[in-house]
Amino acid sequence: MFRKPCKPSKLSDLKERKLRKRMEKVQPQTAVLEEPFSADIETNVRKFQRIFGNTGDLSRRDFLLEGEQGVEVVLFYIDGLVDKGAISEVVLKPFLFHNLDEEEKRLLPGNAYQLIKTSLITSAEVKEAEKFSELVDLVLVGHVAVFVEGSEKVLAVDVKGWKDRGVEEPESEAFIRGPREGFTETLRTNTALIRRRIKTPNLEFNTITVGEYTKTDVCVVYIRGLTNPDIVREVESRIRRIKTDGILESGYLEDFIEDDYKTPFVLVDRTERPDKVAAGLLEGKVAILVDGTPFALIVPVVFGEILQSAEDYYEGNDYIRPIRWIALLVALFLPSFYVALTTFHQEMIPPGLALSMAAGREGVPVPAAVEAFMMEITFDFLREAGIRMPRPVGQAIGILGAVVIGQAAVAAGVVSPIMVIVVSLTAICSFLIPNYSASVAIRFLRYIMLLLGGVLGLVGVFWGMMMLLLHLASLRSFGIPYLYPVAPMVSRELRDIFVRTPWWTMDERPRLLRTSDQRRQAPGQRPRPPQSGRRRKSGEDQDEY
Amino acid sequence: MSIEKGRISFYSQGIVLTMFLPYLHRPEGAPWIVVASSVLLGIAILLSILGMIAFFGAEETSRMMFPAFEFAKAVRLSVVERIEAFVVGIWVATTGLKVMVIYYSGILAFAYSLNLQDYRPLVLPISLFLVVLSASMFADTTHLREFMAHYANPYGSTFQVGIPLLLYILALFRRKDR
Repeated sequence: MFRKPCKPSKLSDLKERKLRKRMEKVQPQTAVLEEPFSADIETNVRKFQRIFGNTGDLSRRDFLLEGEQGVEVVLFYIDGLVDKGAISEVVLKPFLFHNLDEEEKRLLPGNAYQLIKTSLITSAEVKEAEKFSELVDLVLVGHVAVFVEGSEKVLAVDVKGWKDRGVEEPESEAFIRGPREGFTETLRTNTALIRRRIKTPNLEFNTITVGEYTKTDVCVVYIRGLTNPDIVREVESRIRRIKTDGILESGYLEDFIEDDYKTPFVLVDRTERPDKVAAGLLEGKVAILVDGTPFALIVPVVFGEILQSAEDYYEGNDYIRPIRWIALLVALFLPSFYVALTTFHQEMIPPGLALSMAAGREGVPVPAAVEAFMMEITFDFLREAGIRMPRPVGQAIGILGAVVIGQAAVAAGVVSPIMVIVVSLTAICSFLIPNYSASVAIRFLRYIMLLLGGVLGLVGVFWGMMMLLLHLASLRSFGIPYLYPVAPMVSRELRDIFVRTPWWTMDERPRLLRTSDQRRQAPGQRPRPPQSGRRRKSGEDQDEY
Repeated sequence: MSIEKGRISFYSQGIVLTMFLPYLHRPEGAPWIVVASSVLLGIAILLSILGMIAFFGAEETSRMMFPAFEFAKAVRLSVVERIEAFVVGIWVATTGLKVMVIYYSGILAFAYSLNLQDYRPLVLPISLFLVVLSASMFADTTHLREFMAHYANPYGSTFQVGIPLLLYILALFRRKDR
């Protein structure tokens, strides 16, 4: 007998086959997830345990429910995700201490499941699972599974409870005046923080689960009847499109749902503050909460908003807005401007100043552009090091940096004193931008401007400015032009861009968000001194509205 | 004011913008904006020319090649002086924008007349012509002065006033036929 001749398999094919075989062994069994439960408790429990493999944190508790021939009950829960006190309170205690009356005892063997569901479990939230996949999902978010003998359904009782950080003051957005609550890592806490600020049944939290492994709950928040439904739909469809292993932070999501990734600017706003989210919702925006992170996303966002801080509306310092705009320009253009002036347009500097600047630059071995570049990079190094270090060390880095760039570098003649002033002024100004991601973007663009200024002088700087404006004008955030309300000019909304006018002037919501209800408040609420000689009737104002 | 004589051809360049009329969101508002912006522009230029004449005198100004440039040269503030680099920077940037607009409209027109679906394949080849033309247009400032004084107006008005006017008249006749 001869074996049929066949083509010898290639080595790579063999290897692949071997690998696949090995992988099959460790592959999780997904088929069993779609199976319904059988009436036999033993089979159910065995299958359920096999789904989880030999993980250490799946706890099991067996007991018998009294009766004529004792009904077997098995509990499963993930240790650490559940509150054990709650388990004993709502599940175990009633099971073990409840004295069944004669009627119940007689019914027990056939109707144990119904009995447990209706009269034994004392939890507010009880769900029924008919398939393994449903039960597994529930157990993984902190339910306890109750397998009952002779039932084709399994109960899942909500006993969530894990270590939570608690509501603290947000560190990345600290205020002088304003609420001190910040989001936490638990989605439920975060939704409650928003709900407590907006007490309307129209506030909706639409939960979408994203991530094949992480099964992260992503919450799309909006106010029904106020937010433009098109934006809500767009946000939801963009989130639903995501197919990925996991979402660990809202930054993952941001990358997936942004309109344009080829830009340093933020097209999605993020915040740790529930009051800021509430303010955005009331403007007709959509917020996105992600489980496991205190950072919520707000869309759409326009350029003017990166210079707005929620505190602007709490503390009446109206002049801070123009200062921020100036700071933005300084942070973006000062180094390139300085370099252009000293390299190409010395005639623009008055003689006295020019002489002292030249004296300062005397020993500097490199051109001004390189010098500026060096200093900017050094500053970015220091800043990054200060953030990554543990806090006490971070302060030491600050002092070190001040000495290194401020003092020693000048004394050693590596940089000129004016350059130190320029760089530190730029750094301070970049910290004035309330939105951290935006300030990173500005810092990045500064290098490009520096390059243009160093190569082409003022012409280059203006060219960069032009290109930047063109780029900004081309950006969209969920369909809203990024330069709105400046570039599609809506003059009445400029009241909140370069300055902040009092609340009673801003009667309408941003027009381009196309909210269903454009009006924010009754017009003409400017406070006036009481008119003499005429008493106002109390109901008058309300009639006007 | 040899250079100022060429102004008319500068003004009539606005006709290029009519290329974008079909792309406007609300074309019905365009005429008013055009009129208002030309008036504003005229006022701005008038003011700057008034300033120059007041500063240098009419004789001197008329002899200058770029009076605005000389004007900026004379600025002296306590921290900055001679801001003509500033002016040149703005000139270059705005001229860049102007080149973009005119270039884009030119390519659009080209694509129209060739009945092309998409203007994009034309961008690179025509840019080659643009570069060559920009280098060979004026040999030196004398050439520029000569061109501006004698040829800019007839040249500019032929293309920027004459042909559009002709097209407009044709369009009027064609509408009558219909």
